Amino acid sequence: MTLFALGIIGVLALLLLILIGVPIGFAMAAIGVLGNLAVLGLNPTMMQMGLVAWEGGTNFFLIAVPLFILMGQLVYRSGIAADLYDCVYKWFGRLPGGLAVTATLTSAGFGAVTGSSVAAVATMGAMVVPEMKRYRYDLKLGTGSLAASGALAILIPPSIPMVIYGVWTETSIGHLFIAGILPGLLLAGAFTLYIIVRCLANRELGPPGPRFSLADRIGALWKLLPTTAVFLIVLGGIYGGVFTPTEASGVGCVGVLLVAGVMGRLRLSVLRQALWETVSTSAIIYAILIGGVLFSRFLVLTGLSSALVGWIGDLNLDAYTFIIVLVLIYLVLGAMLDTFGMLILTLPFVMPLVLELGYDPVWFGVFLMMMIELALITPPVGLNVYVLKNAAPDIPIGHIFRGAAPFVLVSLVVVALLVVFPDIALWLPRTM
Amino acid sequence: METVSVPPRLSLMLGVCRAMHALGVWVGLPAMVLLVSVDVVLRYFFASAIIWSQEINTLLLLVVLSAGLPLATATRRHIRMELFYERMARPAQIAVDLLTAAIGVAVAGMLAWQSVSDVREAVRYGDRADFIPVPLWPFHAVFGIAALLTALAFLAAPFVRVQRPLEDAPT
Repeated sequence: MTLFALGIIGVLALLLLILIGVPIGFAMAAIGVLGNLAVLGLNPTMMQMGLVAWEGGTNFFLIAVPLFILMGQLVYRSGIAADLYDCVYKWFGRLPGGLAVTATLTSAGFGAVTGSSVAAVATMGAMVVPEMKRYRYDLKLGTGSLAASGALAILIPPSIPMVIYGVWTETSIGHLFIAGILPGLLLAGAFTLYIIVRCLANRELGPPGPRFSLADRIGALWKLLPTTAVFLIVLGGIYGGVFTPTEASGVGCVGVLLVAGVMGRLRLSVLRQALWETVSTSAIIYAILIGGVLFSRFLVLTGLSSALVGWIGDLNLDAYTFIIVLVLIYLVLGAMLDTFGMLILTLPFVMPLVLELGYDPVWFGVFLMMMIELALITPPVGLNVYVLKNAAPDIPIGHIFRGAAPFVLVSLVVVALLVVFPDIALWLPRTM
Repeated sequence: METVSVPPRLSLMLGVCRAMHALGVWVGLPAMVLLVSVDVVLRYFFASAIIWSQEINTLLLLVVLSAGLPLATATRRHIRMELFYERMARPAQIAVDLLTAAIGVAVAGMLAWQSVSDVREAVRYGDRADFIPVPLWPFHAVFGIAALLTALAFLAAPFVRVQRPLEDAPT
């Protein structure tokens, strides 16, 4: 059997294992190990396994993963988001669809200090859905906006998937973070605009909230301080070249600990839960990374990746067609896989093509984050939708998915803008 | 956080997995936060740096990442596609569970086996960190123990009952 045929069989076997529900990291590891055994034999394979696990586990850039997860956990569990929401509501609640607009902008702000979309949805859902019911909001629009805006956390830095992408593709994590800012703000703005236009056309969809006095609004601004301080320290430090992303993650953790401590919200139970969850989540990501590296080394041995690059090259696809094909592939994958599964499973195939066709890896990272965001709100997996359903059990799941559908379209419009105007992502990193 | 219940015969193993997890929670992770931030403060405010901090931090990272594997496995937290699994008949689900256990035991078992050899080599050649006299073999050993526990956890996972809030999903 040729190496190429072995590679094809490996890929098909991997897809089968993933489809039937074997954990993705271990499925990739198993195929990678079996493939390496067939090609290299036992001893080199065993040595490679040990090396991959050691190199992955001691990769300096990966330190940012547990530390940013911890930072997000601390923000999530210490209730800092409630203050952010209160301030944003006093300023924007009066707009048509004010609650949904507030939820969108708060989620963007929350994403700027957590990097966890499900945490954003869980927090916002619990706070906003009861208010939406009180003001007789159209719950399809309301819950759809909540599910969609929660996903902004993946695009707006700090973002854990961006760190993984950066480590995997050897792309500057700092540049990726900074590149995500403008597209993230653009997407948040587009969601907000969509909500306002819908609610202007039909005021019953989202009635405006109460008007607050200027004194009240200015008085609420201090509540922005914790989030703003953490955001400025982390991203300002990276942008200004003061910190590396890894250093920023450690400083960010200390920043959130100090803020939560000063606000009297740092209980031992909060700290324990945050630490416990951080170790679990980091380990899960580690498993998928080890599996991904083993599988991708097997792919390199078989020459499948280079053959794929050659084949796509021979098709002479223009830049836009290639991106449209990728959008379709990621929409289909996003319907079945979660964030990290999608990321690690596709990078060994897609990244060589992206580099061969001359795309900027920073730009592609931002594009990929936007596609991953869509996966969180599209059926049947749509994790954000299920998290929101938990916060609002009486709202049918189909209602939330239907409510999120227009936001998928809005996101695709922003993706199109990013493709046509790549500087939306690339301008800011160039100024660093 | 999740609620976990296990048959009595597996409670010892789950306890060991929790102890391993606690190593990452109470030792590895706090030490990393402390070391990274102290190093930043020293470098930018006192124009001084801990030269071994980067190296020790990467070793602590290995402790954190590997310490979390056994409990994550025992409580079935690994990322998987559940779309078709949930629609399968019970016998098919059991077959997938058995296959998953076999794959997990094989992969984690091989990693544990390899780490025995890595510990031996590290001891024989006196491998240590470059900037501080810390031997590397204990870190190979921690990884090996974590891999071994992960292999055992794959065997136990089908018998562990877990109730977990969706917010704990790793996204």
